[in-house]
Amino acid sequence: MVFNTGAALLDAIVLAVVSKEPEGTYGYKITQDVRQVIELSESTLYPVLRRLQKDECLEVYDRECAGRNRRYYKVTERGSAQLNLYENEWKIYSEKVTGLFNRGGNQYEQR
Amino acid sequence: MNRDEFLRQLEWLLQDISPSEREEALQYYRDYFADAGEDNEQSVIESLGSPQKVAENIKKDLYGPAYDEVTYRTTVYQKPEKTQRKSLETWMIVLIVIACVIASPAIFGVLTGIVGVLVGVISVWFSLILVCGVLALVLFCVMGVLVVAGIAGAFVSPVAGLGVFGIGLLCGGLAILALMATVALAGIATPAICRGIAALWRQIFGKKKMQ
Repeated sequence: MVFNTGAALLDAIVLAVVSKEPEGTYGYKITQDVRQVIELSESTLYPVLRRLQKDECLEVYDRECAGRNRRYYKVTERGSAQLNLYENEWKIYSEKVTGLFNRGGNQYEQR
Repeated sequence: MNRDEFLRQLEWLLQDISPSEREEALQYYRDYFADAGEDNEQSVIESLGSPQKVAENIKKDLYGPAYDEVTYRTTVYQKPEKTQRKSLETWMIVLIVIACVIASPAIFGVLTGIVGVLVGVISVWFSLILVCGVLALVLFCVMGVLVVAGIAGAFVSPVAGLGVFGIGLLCGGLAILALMATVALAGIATPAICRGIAALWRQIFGKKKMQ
């Protein structure tokens, strides 16, 4: 991937991935889902989850699964609000960039 | 490396963070391995990188400037950087070999020089020990002579005799000092230096093996 994923964008992607599951989801699945969207080294995700948890954007609970406790992550109210903010910001940002690119692209279309 | 080894190394590397943070992280990675399944154990280890990298990422977030663009850039560009370094290394090895062949007379000279200096330093060191030892011996002899002469002389001239006797005792004191220096140099400093060099050697080689 050419573009770097900054901290805020990564937070937004993780929050979006987790919020897709109303019941919550677990670390391995979150990693796989995030990696569907962006390239990222697997070891960078744990600190992000931990930080979002500390910031009370995510809450954790343990659920029994195949004879062991699996840790689940769920988006909190605060997390949803934060995700909303990110989504709006992203919309503005991406529209601006896309608009700029399209103006350049018109020449190509006119040929 | 298998999963247990990976987790054990990670636990060891996280010794310096709080127990609750450590347990949290270990729990996450234990879950991670379990959810990935035994068949994917190796691929998970590969994509996680090394326990060192995982631990570094955890600590960076706990202490460091949390998650700035810079840390991202380094993780994103890590792969291309590595391959570049590899191809550079082969070139460097070829160049080094050629340079070695051309410069072999000079290298031989330098090596001889280094060996010479080493032999010189070691000789000086042992000469120092020898000089201290001989000095101690000589001073002891001088003390013996002067003490005897002082006692004998005291019968003739008490003042001069006592003076000689005193100088004799002074020589004895100096002799003991020289003896102590000899023992310290030969018995304590030399083994300590040898041990230090051995430890340094092991550290350099041990590190190379780890990499």
